Amino acid sequence: MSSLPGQNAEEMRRIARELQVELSSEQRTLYFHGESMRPFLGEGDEVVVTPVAFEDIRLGDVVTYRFGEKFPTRRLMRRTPDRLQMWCENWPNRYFETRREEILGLAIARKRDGKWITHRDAEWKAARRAALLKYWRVVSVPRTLGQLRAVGGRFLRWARLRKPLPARDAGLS
Amino acid sequence: MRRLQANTDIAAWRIVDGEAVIVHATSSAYYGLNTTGTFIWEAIVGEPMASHDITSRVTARFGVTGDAVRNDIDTFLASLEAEGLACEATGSATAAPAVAAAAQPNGHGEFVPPRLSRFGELEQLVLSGE
Repeated sequence: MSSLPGQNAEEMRRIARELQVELSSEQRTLYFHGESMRPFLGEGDEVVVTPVAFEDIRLGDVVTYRFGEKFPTRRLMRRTPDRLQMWCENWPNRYFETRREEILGLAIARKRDGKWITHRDAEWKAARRAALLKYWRVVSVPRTLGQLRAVGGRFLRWARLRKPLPARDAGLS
Repeated sequence: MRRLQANTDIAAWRIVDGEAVIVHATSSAYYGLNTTGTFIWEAIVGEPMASHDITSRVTARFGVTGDAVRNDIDTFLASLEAEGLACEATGSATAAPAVAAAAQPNGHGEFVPPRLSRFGELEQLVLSGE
């Protein structure tokens, strides 16, 4: 190993690792770790990630981004002009947020048990649809119902306060 | 005239604070360039160049004489070639960019010999959902 005067070895390694993500289609050195994205991604699956423009990322896409020294890879489920809300299908009650500038790329292929599938294959698309449906069922609908209940409760409290006083109370004076 | 170009098919790079970090796609080796090396790297990424064209650019950029830097530049180019990061260009030569180079301002200060440093090889990278 050698070093240059202006370069910090740790910083160089971090940059090189990010470049490694961009080169994954040629290097084939990216592997998934953990259970959070099962069944779509599991421990030891090989993954290919390609650089992507922020505007081209669609709901349900599997996105790799920078988070400190780690490279989380999760599904996009909600977005704002400069932020993405990420979700893992096997951890439905947790959310993760990332910013536009942290995005490194889009997962486009996976190898498991010697077999590759890509984002163009039916299996990949079916997993994307299933994840979106699960998110809608487990997260979106309950969240919307909760918001409606909260609004309804506020309305009822407001309506009760607006009720005129009962006649017998009025007669006390 | 032998001209060299950056082997962009097998290299990915990023420039941070004027210094490039390069990753070799097939060997997974990664490298650092100092500011002068990065200046030369950017030149041969843009177009194939002969050694004397690169020397002209460097002299115009850093305000040094060609004789003083020629050996350093040739050594640097040889190291890029040896690591597979640069290769000989095929096809016809284009006009030497000496005039354009001379017009560029000298914003990076003193000349230091260009240097390529190999930092090792990247191992498997773990993507995590956790």
